[in-house]
Amino acid sequence: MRILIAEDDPITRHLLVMLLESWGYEVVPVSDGAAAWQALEKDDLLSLAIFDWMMPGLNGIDLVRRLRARRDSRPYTYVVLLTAKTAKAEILEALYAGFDDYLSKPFDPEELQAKLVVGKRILDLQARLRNALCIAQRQASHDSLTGLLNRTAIIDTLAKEIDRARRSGALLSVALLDIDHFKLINDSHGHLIGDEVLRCAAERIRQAVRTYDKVGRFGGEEFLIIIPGAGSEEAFTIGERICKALKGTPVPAAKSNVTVTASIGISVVNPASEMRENLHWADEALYRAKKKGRNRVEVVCPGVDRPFPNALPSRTGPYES
Amino acid sequence: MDDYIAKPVDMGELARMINGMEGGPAPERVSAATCMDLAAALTHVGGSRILLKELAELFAHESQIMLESILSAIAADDASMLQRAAHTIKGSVLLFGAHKAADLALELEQLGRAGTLGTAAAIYPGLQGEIAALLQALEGLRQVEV
Repeated sequence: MRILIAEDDPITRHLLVMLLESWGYEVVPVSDGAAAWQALEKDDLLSLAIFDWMMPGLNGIDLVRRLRARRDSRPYTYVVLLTAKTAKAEILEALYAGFDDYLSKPFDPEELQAKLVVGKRILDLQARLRNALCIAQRQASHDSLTGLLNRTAIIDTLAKEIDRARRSGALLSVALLDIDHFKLINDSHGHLIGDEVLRCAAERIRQAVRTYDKVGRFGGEEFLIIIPGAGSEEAFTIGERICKALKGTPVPAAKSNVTVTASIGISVVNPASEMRENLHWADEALYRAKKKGRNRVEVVCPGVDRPFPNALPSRTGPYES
Repeated sequence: MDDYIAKPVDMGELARMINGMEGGPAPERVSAATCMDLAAALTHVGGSRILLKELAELFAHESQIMLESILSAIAADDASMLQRAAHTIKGSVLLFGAHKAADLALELEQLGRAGTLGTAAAIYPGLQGEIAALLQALEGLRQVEV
């Protein structure tokens, strides 16, 4: 475990370094508060620290106040005050300022060692909670079958991307993808194969899009793809690439391999409109793709110059294998 | 004004002047045997004589720098510098169980905090004497152990 020491007295600093190293800590010693702050900003693994109170420049109390005022998701730093000040009022000030514990100088090494074990216990507890939170957050935002963003998360992402497009004026397209005849696959091959088809489809979509495109599971066999920076041409190309990737490799099944195709409806986002409207246009394009024979991409541009629903400029095309 | 010293301050000259001031205490001769508490010092280093010797060596060097800081602070009439320098040396000497030296350093620290350096120059020789004795005691420790 890595520990920061901020102590201006070279004798005490040296003593601390030698003791802590003999107890197996990796020690980062500094001689003033400003250097300690720099170290804390740079190194998130400094989860334990010992500060002297009186230091030139930034003193221990101001240092710990600054540390506690940091509002971000970095892991907690457990800080022990080492001080020659022993008046009750001073100790109280230190604890209220943000120190977790204190030890008066000259300190007893055995006591310091024990206090650091207490600190490690708290930090271990925090690490376990952070880990659990991390897993819970992932579960809350991802679809357990496909590993893609779930409906809530992909809609949140879309809302943010539309906001961004509104601010920056950049192009943005949104695609709705529906696996063709999925009910038929489920009925003839069983639900396990149906699940396998969804998993494989998710993986192939993920591989077909660009790294900064976002893919989510929108509903049963429906997926939503956010394509930033893309107008109708680019979005259409990506849509075709997805169709090709899906149809290209059948999903192996006991009876016979399942060839999976999908229909895709793309709307070039009109940032002046609400998300709901933009999704509605993508849904209409998807409906057209289905109607025109499936395994194809339909794009609509509800652009500013030609407001929907009058004569939408659109680009259509089946994927030809 | 009783005396003067030209800037930049020569530390040796300033020390001689403070030590020779009329009315101030003469540089004190302190017995090396009684100036520190060896048992306490050993406790503070977790019982390691090797570590204690290492710290003694470091202190032989650092204590001179700390004393010079105190002299500079007195010369410059810099209260906050005196407070800090005296505080630091107090921490170091306490580690060796040198309580008299620590008490004198504390007096200087308090003068610094109060912003009244008036009697600081009179206290300094006592601290200097205690530290000289401490260094001698630590030197003895090093010799015996080697």
